[in-house]
Amino acid sequence: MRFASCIIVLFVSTLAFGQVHNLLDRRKAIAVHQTSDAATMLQKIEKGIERGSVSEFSPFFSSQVYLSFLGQEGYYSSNQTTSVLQNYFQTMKPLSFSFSSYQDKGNNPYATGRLTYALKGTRESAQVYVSLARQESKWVITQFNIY
Amino acid sequence: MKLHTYGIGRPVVWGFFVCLLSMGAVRIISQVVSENARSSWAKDESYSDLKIQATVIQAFQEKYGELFRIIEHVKSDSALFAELRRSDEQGTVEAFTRLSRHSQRFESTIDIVDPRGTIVAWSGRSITSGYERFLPHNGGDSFVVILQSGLHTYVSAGVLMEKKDFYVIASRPLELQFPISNRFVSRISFSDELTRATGTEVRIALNTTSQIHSHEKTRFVPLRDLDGRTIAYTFFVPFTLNTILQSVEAESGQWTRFLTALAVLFFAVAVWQISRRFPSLLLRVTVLTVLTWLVRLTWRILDFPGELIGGNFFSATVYSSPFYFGLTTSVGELFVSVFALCLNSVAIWYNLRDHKPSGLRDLKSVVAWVVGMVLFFVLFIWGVRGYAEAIRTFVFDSTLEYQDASALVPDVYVSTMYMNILLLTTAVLSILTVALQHVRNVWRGTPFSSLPWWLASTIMYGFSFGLFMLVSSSPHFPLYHPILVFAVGLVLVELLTRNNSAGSGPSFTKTATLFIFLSFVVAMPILDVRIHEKERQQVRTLVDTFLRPVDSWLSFVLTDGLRTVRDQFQASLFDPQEDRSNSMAFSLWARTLMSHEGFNSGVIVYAQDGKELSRFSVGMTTFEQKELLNKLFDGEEETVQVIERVESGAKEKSYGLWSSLRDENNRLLGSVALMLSASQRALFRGEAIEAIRPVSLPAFESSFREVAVSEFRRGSLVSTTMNDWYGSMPLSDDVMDRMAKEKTGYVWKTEIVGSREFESLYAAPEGPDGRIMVVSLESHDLRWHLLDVLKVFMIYAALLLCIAVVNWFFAKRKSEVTTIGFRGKLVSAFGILGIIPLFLLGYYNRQVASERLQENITRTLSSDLELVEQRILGAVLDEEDFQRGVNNDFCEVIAAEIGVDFAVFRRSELLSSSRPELYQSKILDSRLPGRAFANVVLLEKALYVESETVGEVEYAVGYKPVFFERKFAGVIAVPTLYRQREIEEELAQRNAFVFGVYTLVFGLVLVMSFVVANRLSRPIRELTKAADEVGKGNLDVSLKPTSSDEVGNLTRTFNEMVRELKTSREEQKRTEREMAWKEMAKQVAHEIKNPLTPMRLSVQHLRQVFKEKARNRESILQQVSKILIDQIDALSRIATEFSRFAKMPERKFERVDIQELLGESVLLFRDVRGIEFRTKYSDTPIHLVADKDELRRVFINIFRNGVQAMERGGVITVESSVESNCCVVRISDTGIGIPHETGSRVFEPNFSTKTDGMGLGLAISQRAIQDIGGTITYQSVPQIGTTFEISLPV
Repeated sequence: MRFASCIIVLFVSTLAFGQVHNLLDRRKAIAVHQTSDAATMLQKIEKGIERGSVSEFSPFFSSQVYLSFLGQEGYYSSNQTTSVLQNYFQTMKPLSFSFSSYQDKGNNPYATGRLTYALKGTRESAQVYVSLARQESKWVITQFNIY
Repeated sequence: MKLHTYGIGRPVVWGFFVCLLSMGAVRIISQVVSENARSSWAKDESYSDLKIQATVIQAFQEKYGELFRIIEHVKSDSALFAELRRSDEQGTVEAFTRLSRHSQRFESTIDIVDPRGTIVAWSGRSITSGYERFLPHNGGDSFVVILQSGLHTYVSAGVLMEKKDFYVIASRPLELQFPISNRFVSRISFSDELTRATGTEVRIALNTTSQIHSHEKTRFVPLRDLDGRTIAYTFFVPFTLNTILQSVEAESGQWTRFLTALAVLFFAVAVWQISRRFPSLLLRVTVLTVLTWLVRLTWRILDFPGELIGGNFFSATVYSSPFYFGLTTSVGELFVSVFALCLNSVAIWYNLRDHKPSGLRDLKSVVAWVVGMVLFFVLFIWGVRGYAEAIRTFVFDSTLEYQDASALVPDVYVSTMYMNILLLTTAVLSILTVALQHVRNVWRGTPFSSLPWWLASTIMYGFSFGLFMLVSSSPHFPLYHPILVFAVGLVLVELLTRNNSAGSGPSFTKTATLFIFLSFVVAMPILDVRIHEKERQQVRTLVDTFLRPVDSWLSFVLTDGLRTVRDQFQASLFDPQEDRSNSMAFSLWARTLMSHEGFNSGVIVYAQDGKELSRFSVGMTTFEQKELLNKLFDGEEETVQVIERVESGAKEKSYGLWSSLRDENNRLLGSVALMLSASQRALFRGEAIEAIRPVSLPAFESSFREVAVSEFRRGSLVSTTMNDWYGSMPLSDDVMDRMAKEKTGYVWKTEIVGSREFESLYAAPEGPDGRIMVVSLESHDLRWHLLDVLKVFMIYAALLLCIAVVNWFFAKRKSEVTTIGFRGKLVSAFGILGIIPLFLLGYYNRQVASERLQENITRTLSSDLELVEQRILGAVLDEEDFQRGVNNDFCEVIAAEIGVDFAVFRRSELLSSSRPELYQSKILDSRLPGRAFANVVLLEKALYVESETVGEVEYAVGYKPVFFERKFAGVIAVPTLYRQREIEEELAQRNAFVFGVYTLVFGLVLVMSFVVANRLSRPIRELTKAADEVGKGNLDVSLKPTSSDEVGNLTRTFNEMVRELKTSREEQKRTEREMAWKEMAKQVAHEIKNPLTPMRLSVQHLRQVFKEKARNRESILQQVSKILIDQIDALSRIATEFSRFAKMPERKFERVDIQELLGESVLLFRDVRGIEFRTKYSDTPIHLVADKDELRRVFINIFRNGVQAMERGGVITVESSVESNCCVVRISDTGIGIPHETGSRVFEPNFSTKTDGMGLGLAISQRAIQDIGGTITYQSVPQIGTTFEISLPV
């Protein structure tokens, strides 16, 4: 009995590298599924950026997102994109944000707006461009640029 | 408090308290520094500015000071100037050659200028066309100047030669920017250097209109030349009290976090050291686990060691996955996490591996145990799913190239990921090994032990697998993963325990080797599958990229570009240094998103009257621009206009936008037009994949293989980059059919094109035009996979080597060095001999690839140059026509026809080019390189190839002179494609071809070496084993010689030696036996003699009494009778004791419950007055195989000794437990103890301190215990008591 307990203690420590991913993916899938309207999605993204809360729109990321920020660019997985943007918003604390131009109709909805943020006590700004695409009957974020 | 009594090491205690004290010190220092800063800020503020100014000025002086040192070096080259002064061609060529050496050595531009400012010899990138304006006019001999050339800024220093005939001018970049394509960005920034040196943001500018945008309070420092004239400015943001305080707080916070992390580690080690004394295994394991994860989580919260190391190692852009608590947000965090996990698992495995639980006796307990194990295995399979998922994230959530075939040794990030995979796999295998070893140990004690343990394990695991599949409808991983892991676990347990059964467990290094090798076997197939899956995902992303409408994105890029141009235009208008005619449009374009994203695009600036002021475009033909501009200016201002053109059968779109430019008072200054092409072209022609990319492409896991993009419309091919496909090729019926059936619109197909296999993804977007995009990825054959295997193998081998060295080092410190066996040495030698050629081949491969490429480049350049020359000579009439007619448009037309970009030089300066934008933007130098000038213009060599660089990219340029009627007219220059990339491609191919096969050979060599080593070493191992047997006293060993060589002779000699030893030993035994009998006879005689004396005296006394007829003869008779009876009893006891010692009865081995036997023995003494027995038995019964009666006699003997040692009464404590696979019985009394002087003899026969004993009891006991493989020891403290400890193997 004691031995079995030891093994269980051991197991708890190693439990499920990646089990969580499935749960997260499922949660994401549900969230994306629930939000089928591009306009609504863009609104959620807008609010998420304004609050610097990436988790509010990270479920909408495509499996591969074209990300461009701080001179870096490339394709990143949805998980990486989430982390990268979280780190970005931790450093650049958003002060205000709203999309100034929308295109929420057609095959390629996008929105762009000016992000004002605080960096080391200084007020700075950057242009944000977000583009959506339809994948398997759902809208997903395929491009996220911050200039 | 004595901490060592709790098991805490002194270094740990010191470490912990030093950390605490240091934290306190850091806090105090930060308070003091902050307070000082506050109190003296009024005074220090100006000092702070002065300090920054001094730093800036000093840095600038160092910059040009270095240039003067270079100049002095060049000046000392008298041969250079002697050649230059010869004024003949040969001398000039020699001067150029020498100058080039100096330039390359010092990585700077060196110009030799005559006193009028004309450049007469040069080497390196051109800074200016002439130095007339910059030479000192006040009779000075030296000068310093800052020059701007496009986006680049240089500092130049010049010194006049003693003969006053030449100036030597050296230049180096202060600010370098290459904006086209990210691959060309290689910034050198003096501003950044100053920012790092001063700790505040610093920017350099040639005028005072620039300043740091976000800060209004910028201050500037003038940079002055040698005469004190201002030649540039540096702007900086001054420090404020707040920034100082924040910086102190940040610094102290960083130190505090670092020290806290260390303190937590020391604390955890201390608690772990205490916990090692806990009797409960469960408690020890729990403490270890909790401590491991306490440290890990604390470090994560404190951002340690991420904050300390930083860089890409801890950046999410390389790898990140969303595990709990951010434990896997980067490669570095992942490494620390899996290291903790592996440490935890392996430590627990190490603790539990020798644990042997008692067997299960009845069916009920067996069933309960089996159910428990099945549940555990279900849990374990769940864990394997997590493990497979983790490896998936290692591939999918990273931007790493696991399969870069051009490099034999993976980069540090990929290597770390391989380590992470190894650590994780080791953790999984440790858990499985613990469970399987448990099954192995328990199964033998069950009623079903006739079934092999591994079969029982397999049945239970199989059942668990079935149960898991029922519970989890979607397993999320290939089903062979848990089977593979389990099979490897069985092998591991067998290999580990097989050694154990031989009496000694495998060494640490051998265990590590087993774990690493089997982890490699488990992880590699899983990793390979995941990489392939990701490649497919990337192909899908690529297809989606092509199919996705890009209008909105391109419109955004264009409108954002206009915004940037407006912002920048205001500033540039007032920049007197700006060369508007040429580089204003480029300067504007370079700052736009169009440039940043690498689009084919352009900017044109017009004056108020509509006259074109400046134009810069990249990748757009003149015709395309004209067509777009016509439509653009027909449309409204700030409205994106689109034109569609058909090129190569496919539609291509171009986008344009124009806007007026006004000043602050809304006065019209001019206008600007922006152009953008949806297609994208690389710097030079010929790059297939980038030629049609709309945005950046995903990097493929395995580069250096063909990725072809094709487009079908209405069933026939309209465009493709696949070499073996042709225009109008019909779409295969198979794809058409599957497309019709598939609702997703995506179809995968494996197809053979030419002789190569491709995996193609056909994708059909919704729409009526019947468009199908195809992305085909060349499949890798087995050689490429083997190359990957080899690389991972080498990394793991390197790790193993490190482990072996560390283990050897520690073993040496403890004087416990275990050498590698003969077989191990042979295998290692074969392995090392197999690896050495690998590195030689690697080096050779690189050399050959480089040389082959050099030859190819020279050949290609030669034929390209001839082709260009033929076209030019065919179109141009004479030299005059050449100088006038060979303009940019002319070059562009020819380049488009023959597919080769080129430039034409008139002596040293650029005449025209098919890619003029590259020269306008200063990406390429518009001055002919010095050595090319010398060789082609002066020596008129037919071909000269020179290696040049743009940023970090190296490429080759071929130069050829053009003649009209044998008269030199100019030089044609043809640049190659990216040379480095080609070398890497060539290397990748060669690596796969050579090392892929080599891996097979190497694997065979290893297997063969093992077989050969096994055969060669078998006689030696048998000899060693036999020698061990002889050492243990078994002289019946005999080996059969298997060969007639030296080893066979050795075997025969060994056999002879053993036979002689046996004879000698028997002789010795006989002698000893005789001696023993003699000794025994003497002893028996002596012992018998002792009672005989009183008997004789008593009988004599009795006879005397009866002879004298004494009155008390009756009572004397009684007394004598008693004495005689006592002495006869004593004789009887003596006889019995000797009988026991001399001839022990036949042993009868049986399964003995040791605690039951102890209980029975204690009962015999329960009536002894004044003696109290206390028992502390183990919770579970302890069984062992022994002679029950013999053991009982041992216990009784010790109890009796204890009773006799406690004449006034006392306590005898009996304890039993299982420790390290042994049953340990401790019997303690509170008697008078054994004196030190006699302590060493208690187990000797005939030794006794008692008057009534023979001194044989403990000797017999020791012999009985030793005969069943046990030990008996004692500890005694006089007047306190004695403890006997009996240890018996279970």
